Amino acid sequence: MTPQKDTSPAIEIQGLTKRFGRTVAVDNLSLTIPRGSTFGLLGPNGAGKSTTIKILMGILSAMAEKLQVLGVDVRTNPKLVKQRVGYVPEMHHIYRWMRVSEVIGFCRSCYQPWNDRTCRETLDLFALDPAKKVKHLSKGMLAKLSLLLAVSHEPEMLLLDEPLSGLDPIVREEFLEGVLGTICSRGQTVLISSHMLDDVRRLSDTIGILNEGRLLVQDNIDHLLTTTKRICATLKDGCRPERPPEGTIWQRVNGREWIATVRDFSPDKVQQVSALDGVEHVEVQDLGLEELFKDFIKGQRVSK
Amino acid sequence: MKWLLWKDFRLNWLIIIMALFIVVVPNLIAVTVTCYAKHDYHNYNGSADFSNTLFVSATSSLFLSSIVFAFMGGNAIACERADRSAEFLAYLPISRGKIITSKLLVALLIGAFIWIVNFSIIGICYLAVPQNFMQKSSPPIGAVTGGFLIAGLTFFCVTWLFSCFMQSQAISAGSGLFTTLLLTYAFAFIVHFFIVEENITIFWPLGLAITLSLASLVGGTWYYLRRVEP
Repeated sequence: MTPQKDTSPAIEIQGLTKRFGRTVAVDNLSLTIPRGSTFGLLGPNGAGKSTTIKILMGILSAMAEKLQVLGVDVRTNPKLVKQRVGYVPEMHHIYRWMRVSEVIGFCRSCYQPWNDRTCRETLDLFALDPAKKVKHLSKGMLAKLSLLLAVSHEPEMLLLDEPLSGLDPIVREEFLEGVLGTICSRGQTVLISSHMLDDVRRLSDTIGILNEGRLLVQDNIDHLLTTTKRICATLKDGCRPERPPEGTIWQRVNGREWIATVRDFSPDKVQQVSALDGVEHVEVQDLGLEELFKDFIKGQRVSK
Repeated sequence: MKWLLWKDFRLNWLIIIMALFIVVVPNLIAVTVTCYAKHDYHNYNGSADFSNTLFVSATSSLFLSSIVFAFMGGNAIACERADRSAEFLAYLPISRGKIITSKLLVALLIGAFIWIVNFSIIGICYLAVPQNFMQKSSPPIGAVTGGFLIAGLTFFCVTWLFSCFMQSQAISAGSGLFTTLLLTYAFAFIVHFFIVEENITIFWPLGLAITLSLASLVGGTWYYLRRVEP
């Protein structure tokens, strides 16, 4: 008999809500991430990205209908989740008085499988000095050490919480190489939250945009970029747009210029806009990830 | 567990130095004073004086160790929250039970070191030297040293409780010390003015200490084990 392969999603969240006093950090969030995918979680500061990741790691308590990581309920078995997931936090709070080799030894004793070879290779890749104390490491070195600790127990999934913030381009490149190496060699599921949209674009196949604790969109990154377009219309003098086309996520009228970012774009929508009274000329523009991200956030702020 | 113990010993290194100081210095002073008296004091009474001085130093060491216990309890959990290394520990797959067992074991070992050294000195002096003043002291020597031992334990348990809730080891230790003293004085006041039975006045300190210690240790541990956040 062959062992059954676990086909449950890597992450399955339903109705997740987290409050800090009166502030709602995560608001009824539902999210499913399939195994083997690389998911980029985008959002402005305070959107709830780090909170969501900490909840998934079992570091924060929360209310949810379903909260499963690799088929395990985080609330009832956080230790098993931590055993199977590698986590790189935004802020590195590794014991400052320990040496790099001591941190590795300490973590090695905590994880059941620990691959010394992977650890050594990553140590060499990142040129980390095992004799150096953590308090003497730069921010970039700390991030690298954190990644080394996250990958050396060969986790099934990596949770990276703003791992690139504050890193210079060279360190960022080295860090990404480390992550990409892990993804390529083991086909792990990766959840990365970041403000560096170019890096997210490079790593992720799927993205989710989170704002004020709510998931605005979750889609394949290429699909989202091909189906979300900006329709730019020139209005006749003194005219105002009648109504935005279906699927508009954000629009702006500036004098005679009317810009609308539209989801599920089709040529019909251009015709719809052209047919409106007062529209003189219509043009369609492709969007980059950064513009798309900004329009989703601005759209939600306007709709409130 | 070995690495956890190593980490907790390392986190308590200042307290370990403090414990060493409290054990070594009073007894070293006692030995020095006795050696000096042996040569310069014409009424020097040999081993009886030596044992009396050592008794005083060992008892002082036990008295001072209460402060070590208070710091040890206050430092236990709050110190890792203060520098946020508790967050690092939180995402490692270590059970809270193991974390707390390691901290209690380290505290027990430091406490055992202080007690074993001082009780050995007192015991040897008491048994080996005839006609020393310990044998005639009132209250009995057992009550005095036992009292310090219980006080140390109570301070540890109450500061431990505060450490389980707070983010600063200094505030935890201070609050624990203050609360214990406040409760002791409040209870002493009640016993002195409102309760006349002699039996109660004899046993109330012990009863209060045991109740307070158990409630604090169990309450703090229970809270820490149940809490999801580091």
